[in-house]
Amino acid sequence: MNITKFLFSALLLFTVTLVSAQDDLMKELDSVPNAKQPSSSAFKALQVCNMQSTKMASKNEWYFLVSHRFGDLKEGINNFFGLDNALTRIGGIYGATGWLSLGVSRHTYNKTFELSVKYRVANQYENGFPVTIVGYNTMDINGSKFDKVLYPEFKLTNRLAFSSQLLISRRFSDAISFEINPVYIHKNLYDIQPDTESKDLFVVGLGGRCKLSKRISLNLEYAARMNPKEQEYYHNPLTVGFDIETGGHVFQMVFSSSQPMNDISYFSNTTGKWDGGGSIYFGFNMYRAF
Amino acid sequence: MKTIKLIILAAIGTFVTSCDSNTYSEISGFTAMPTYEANIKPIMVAQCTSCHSANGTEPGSPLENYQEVVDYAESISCRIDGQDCGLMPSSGRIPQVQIDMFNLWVAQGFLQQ
Repeated sequence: MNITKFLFSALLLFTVTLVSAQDDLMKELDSVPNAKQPSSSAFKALQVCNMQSTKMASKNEWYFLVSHRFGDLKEGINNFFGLDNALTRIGGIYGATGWLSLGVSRHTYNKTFELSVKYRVANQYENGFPVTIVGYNTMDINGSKFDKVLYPEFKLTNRLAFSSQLLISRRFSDAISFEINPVYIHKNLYDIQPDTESKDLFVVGLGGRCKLSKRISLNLEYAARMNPKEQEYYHNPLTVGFDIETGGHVFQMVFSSSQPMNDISYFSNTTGKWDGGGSIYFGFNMYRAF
Repeated sequence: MKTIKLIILAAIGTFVTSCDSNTYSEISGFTAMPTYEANIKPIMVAQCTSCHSANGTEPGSPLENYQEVVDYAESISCRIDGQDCGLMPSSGRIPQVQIDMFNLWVAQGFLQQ
């Protein structure tokens, strides 16, 4: 008797589900399929390695981010491969709408507060517009102490520096994406070493992503400074990284010639280099979405 | 939506152009007769003592008072220059004006006051 009852209930439930499933199917038939769908984003994480990718935070999505760049790798065991002199970035990003997100982060380097705004101007479409274009602006506030004795002519506006960036990416296939970023940097305080940098700098950043497996991709980025000072004090940053997707967050491991992570210092004040016994820094970016 | 974007762009554009720039040399003070109390101590406090002090991560080479700085002066000169020794501080080379002032202080015989 019990078995008959059980079977009967199961059958009833099954029929109900079947009917509602048919309803869904009917709905799908009714709606006109969208002719043009935006391509899925070219990059999985908000950063390629250190520079911004064209991926945006979704509406009302919060990101908590922590990044580290450890000290000079080539010093070896003396500083435990960089553990002793790590730089930290900690911050958050909020997706106000699908096309606009706002961020704030604090960097160890120069005690910098970085405010950022990221806005999508155009989207890449399957068989449509070929690239995704995103605008990105950052404002750095140098939080270092400027001693009155050492810096008698210091003004409050000297704390500020700005970057304006255009991020243009194209997803060529499921596995391969590229990005090119024209960048303009303006600093209100510069040239910590005489004749090493200018107040205005143009940079062209290049980035790429190649998927190695379902959860891992290899990323590479390089930035060429268009009008550097002649003196070879700063170098063009070159960074290689791996995206590792875990459940709730993307974990990025990077090897970079730049230890500072704020965009302005990254593009203009990279002191390490990959060749000629230069310094290389290991680090990671970790994003957690809420 | 388009209007908001334009407003944001205009605001940022204004911000960028409305600020004038200075070099570190322009805002720095330089004296021809640097003394420990007036000129060298502020450099040490700003750049060195967060690690090089009894409570820092380098308590073996403290740079907290006149005598300690005098004792390590030769090594400091070499380290802040970074050509022949490992560069200090590890966060990057300090402004050239401060390096020049330190070397001048050494050359003039470590004036205290």
